[in-house]
Amino acid sequence: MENTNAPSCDLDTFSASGQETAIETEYYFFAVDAESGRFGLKGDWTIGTISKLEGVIEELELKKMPINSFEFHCGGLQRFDLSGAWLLYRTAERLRAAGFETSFSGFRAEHLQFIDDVLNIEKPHKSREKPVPALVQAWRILQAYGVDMLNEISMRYLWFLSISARLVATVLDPRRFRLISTARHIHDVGIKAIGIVAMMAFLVALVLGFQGQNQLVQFGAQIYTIDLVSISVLREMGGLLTAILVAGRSGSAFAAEIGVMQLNEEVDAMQTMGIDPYETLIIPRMTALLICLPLLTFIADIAGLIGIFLLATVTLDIPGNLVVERFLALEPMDHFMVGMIKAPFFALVIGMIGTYRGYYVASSADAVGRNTTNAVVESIFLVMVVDALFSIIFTKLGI
Amino acid sequence: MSEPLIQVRNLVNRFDSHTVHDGVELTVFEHEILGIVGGSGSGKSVLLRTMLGLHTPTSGEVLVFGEDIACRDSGKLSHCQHRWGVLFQGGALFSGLTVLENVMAPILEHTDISNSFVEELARLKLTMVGLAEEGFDKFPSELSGGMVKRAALARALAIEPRVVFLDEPTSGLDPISAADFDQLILYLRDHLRLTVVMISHDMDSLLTICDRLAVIVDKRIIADTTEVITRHPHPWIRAYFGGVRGRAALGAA
Repeated sequence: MENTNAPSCDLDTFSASGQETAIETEYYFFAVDAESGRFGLKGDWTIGTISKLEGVIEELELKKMPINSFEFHCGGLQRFDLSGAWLLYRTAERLRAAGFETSFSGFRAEHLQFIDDVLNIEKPHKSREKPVPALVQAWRILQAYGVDMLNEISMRYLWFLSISARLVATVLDPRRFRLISTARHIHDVGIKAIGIVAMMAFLVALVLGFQGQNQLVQFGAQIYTIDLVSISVLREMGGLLTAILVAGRSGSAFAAEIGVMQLNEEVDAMQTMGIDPYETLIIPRMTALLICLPLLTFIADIAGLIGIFLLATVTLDIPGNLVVERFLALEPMDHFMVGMIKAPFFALVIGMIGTYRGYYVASSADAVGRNTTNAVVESIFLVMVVDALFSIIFTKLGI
Repeated sequence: MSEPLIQVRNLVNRFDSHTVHDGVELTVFEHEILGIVGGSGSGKSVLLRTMLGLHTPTSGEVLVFGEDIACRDSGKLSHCQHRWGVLFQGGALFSGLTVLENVMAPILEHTDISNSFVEELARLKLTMVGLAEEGFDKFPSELSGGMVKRAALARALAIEPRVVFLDEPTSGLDPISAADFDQLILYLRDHLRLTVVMISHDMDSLLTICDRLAVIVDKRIIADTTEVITRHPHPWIRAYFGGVRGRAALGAA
């Protein structure tokens, strides 16, 4: 506290010199006389206080002063640190650049140390790049985006080929098949999903049934609700909704599991031990999906049919045997097969994208999160694309 | 060197039936470099975590800047968090931010300084720890081990702390980089008026830069100047420094 008087002494000498401008705040005192300006530092110039200082110094418009030299005086300076020193240095440097002479006085040894540091450190300056015309920039971005996209597509294509080849190789050489690992994944992907898949298909059939019935009743054709719901469940809804659910549940899990192993260098460890990571990580997951997705689709179909049966008998008051008769007249086996045949392809898409996104995760933690999200979005999108392709094929074939 | 900045008094840490610390006493004085040494599993990290308020001890007092933070009272802790910096063993740089943003983060969090000036300060600190300009906009995953340590040190220094805690600052660095890093710590201690508490196994850095050593043996701490500790009669300490003393003697001859 012995310093509190020091600044006021300085201020006295300032005021005695008959300056034209004088400003005093908590952190500095500023005075200008005929030929020079004096800038007195007061109080703390530390990282905690410089937020109040940096703007003020700009506002003083030192550069416009009708003088040619500045003296920085810090008899009243108390605490000082590197950040404060940088602010002082920067201010002095700007004045120098504008053609003023600058000098320092009244610094104590411990202050000078920081000033010295700032002077000794090679000055970090923002590197200024030449501005690029907007059109050129846009073209570069587009180019980079295009190259990126082509790259991504070809990577996926290669991944698809290599996984397919491995799947075939495993079929040809069953000794390389990892049964226990596959069983675990069947449990995770299939058995644990049965409840939610059945529930969802049941509810979707009910919702479809209610909506359909409301429209069809206007034509007195409410009996066709049975046709509407059972055909859409068997052909599309059962398979599609199951695939979307599995993509969300298991596709994301694959990406996250393999991604974390990749970050942990577990995959590299496997390779150095001569364990094939495709064989141990990818093939069991793919196999589990290929087995489970058709079975889950089957369960979804059954649950959906139970839903429409309940709806028809309870709200439409159609006797049970009539509902079954109506249903059988639709030749449901064809529709069922159309729905089922897509399931393995959905499984391939979900498994490929999930494992790919895990395997090629960039080396950082937030990349795992991003890749997991992308795995789900991408696999659902591709499931839709595959479904659309099948629709076109079936229409052409007239099934 | 006279004023105690950190005082650990009668610290006990027990996990289930396993006692890690049993009456640890430690004082850290201003402007010194204190090295904490101990065998694997002797509780160096637990001690550090306790001093940082990340771990609640079973009993005992931890006074940092005169505040008892053993109870992890958030008000007292935030009082300290403005005034210490920590370099974690793996760097613990935020992986979603660039190096520059990593150093800017604590300043932006604790002050109202404008973005552009914060960026200048961050550049200053990064330059000070010896990182090249090209590295500023890289992400932590793109850096080498040595660069990660330096960037993490710059982040620890961002808010002008009075104390920095370093957890194995030179582990994983080659001897030349490690020696450079030691010199950097010394330079910063002298120039920024820092107090340094470091955990290390690196014999060279312990002996070259530490003013005092605190050795965790038998669940307690034996602390004294480096000179005295290296000649301490305790069997573990003798075993630990035995080889080094021979080496030092050879070097002197």
